[in-house]
Amino acid sequence: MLKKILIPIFAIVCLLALWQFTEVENSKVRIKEGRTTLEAFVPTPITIYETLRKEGGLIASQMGFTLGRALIGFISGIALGVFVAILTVRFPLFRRVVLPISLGVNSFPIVGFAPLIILAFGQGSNFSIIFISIIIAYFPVFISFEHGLMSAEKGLIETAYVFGASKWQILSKVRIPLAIPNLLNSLKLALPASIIGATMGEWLGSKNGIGQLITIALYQLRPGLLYASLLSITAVSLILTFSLGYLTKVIVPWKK
Amino acid sequence: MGNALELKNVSKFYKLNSKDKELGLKDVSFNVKAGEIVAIIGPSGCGKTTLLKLIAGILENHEGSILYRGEKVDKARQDGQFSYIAQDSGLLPNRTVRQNIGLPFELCNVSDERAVAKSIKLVGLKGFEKFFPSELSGGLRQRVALARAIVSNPKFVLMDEPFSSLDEFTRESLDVELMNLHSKLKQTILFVTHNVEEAVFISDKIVIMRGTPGQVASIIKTNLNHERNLKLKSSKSFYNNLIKVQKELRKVIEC
Repeated sequence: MLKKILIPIFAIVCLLALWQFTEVENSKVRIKEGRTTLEAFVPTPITIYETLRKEGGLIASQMGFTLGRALIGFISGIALGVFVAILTVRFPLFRRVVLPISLGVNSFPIVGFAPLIILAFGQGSNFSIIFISIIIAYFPVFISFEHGLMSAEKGLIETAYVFGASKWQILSKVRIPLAIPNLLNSLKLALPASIIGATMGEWLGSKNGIGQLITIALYQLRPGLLYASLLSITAVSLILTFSLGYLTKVIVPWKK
Repeated sequence: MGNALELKNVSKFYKLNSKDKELGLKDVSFNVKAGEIVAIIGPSGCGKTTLLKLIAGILENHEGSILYRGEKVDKARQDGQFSYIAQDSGLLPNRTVRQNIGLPFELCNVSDERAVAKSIKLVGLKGFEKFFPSELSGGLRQRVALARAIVSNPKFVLMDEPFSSLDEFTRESLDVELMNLHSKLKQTILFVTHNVEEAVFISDKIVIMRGTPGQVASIIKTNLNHERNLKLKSSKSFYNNLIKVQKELRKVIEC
């Protein structure tokens, strides 16, 4: 167990040390040649650490905006995905209409989709950013949960039916509980996706948030802040996604 | 005793494409008396499971009539008078043993913990109440299915090769268990099997089917008055019945 944790940590430390050493050495050569140091474009790990230490408060406050929007988008995306998936399973005609539309919209590149949403709902509006987050979170939830609902074993449905279960009871007692693992798996995709959606929305136009901080860092040529912001949001996203993995084990103890 | 189930000229067609259809069952007729155990036996593909699913209401669109106590089976099913054991136990993997057994009550929006506990005790599952199906052996899973099938005291139990995937010893012990339960609860049971010995051991009447299309080849009454325990298997009357059914089956297969 200790080996499993120590080996990746050791590998990361080695990589960071190599990065630091190479960049410092390279910068010495570039200074001698009278050229701009690499630090202006790619910060060293120590610079990133220093930025995190100094600008931690700013990053944390901006992260609060991003996570708030992402959380609203994430929860709304789950609710929408679950609701539409249940309707598609319960009403076959609805499924025939919604499924191809959903798959079509999902194939549309989100980088192109986000500006359309901002154009429609206004730049800098919270709604635009949350809407992008909802759209990105919705698809993995819908597709995975719908698949889970549809793939419930025929024998289980038939057994419940003979015991007198109505169509809604088959849905609520058989299909939905058996699709919960699919739903939880999809959340592991939807959660980071909703954070990406919110960050992208802020990046395209917002008064605050990590996305906006990234834009500022980019235009003020502060790569340290840029990297520190990105690393912080990635770390938070990773922690939340791992927590979901733990939650899965608690919620579905029967799935071993 | 009156008839619990009456089948009259039941035929079932399967649609192959928009034009063609294939006959799966042809003019199946027989009766099951209340409290009787009837086994359906026949070669693979003769429509045993199709017939059971028609009776259970899982499959629709058939010709002829299937009546339970003079009424359409749908009504009895909706009233919770039917129960069912599938070949693979049909247990919900997300529910514990206790929750699986309580399902028939839950579907009627009632709760009867005493009946659930009694069922658990009857089939010898004490101590396994909090286990999930994935934590049980095949034999124990079928015991859970059996407990669930009797918990709400249904009038009619449909069994689709319930013990066929088990080893010989487990199957035999569950057959005895089933007979003990039947002697206490007196439910009407329709039991699909491909095992001749099992069919003779458990049933009052054996419906031998031939295919294709599936039809009733003959109906044999076992007339085994002896108490259904393992001793019965070494009796002459059991042996005679076994030979009789085997002969009939051989005729069906040779045809």
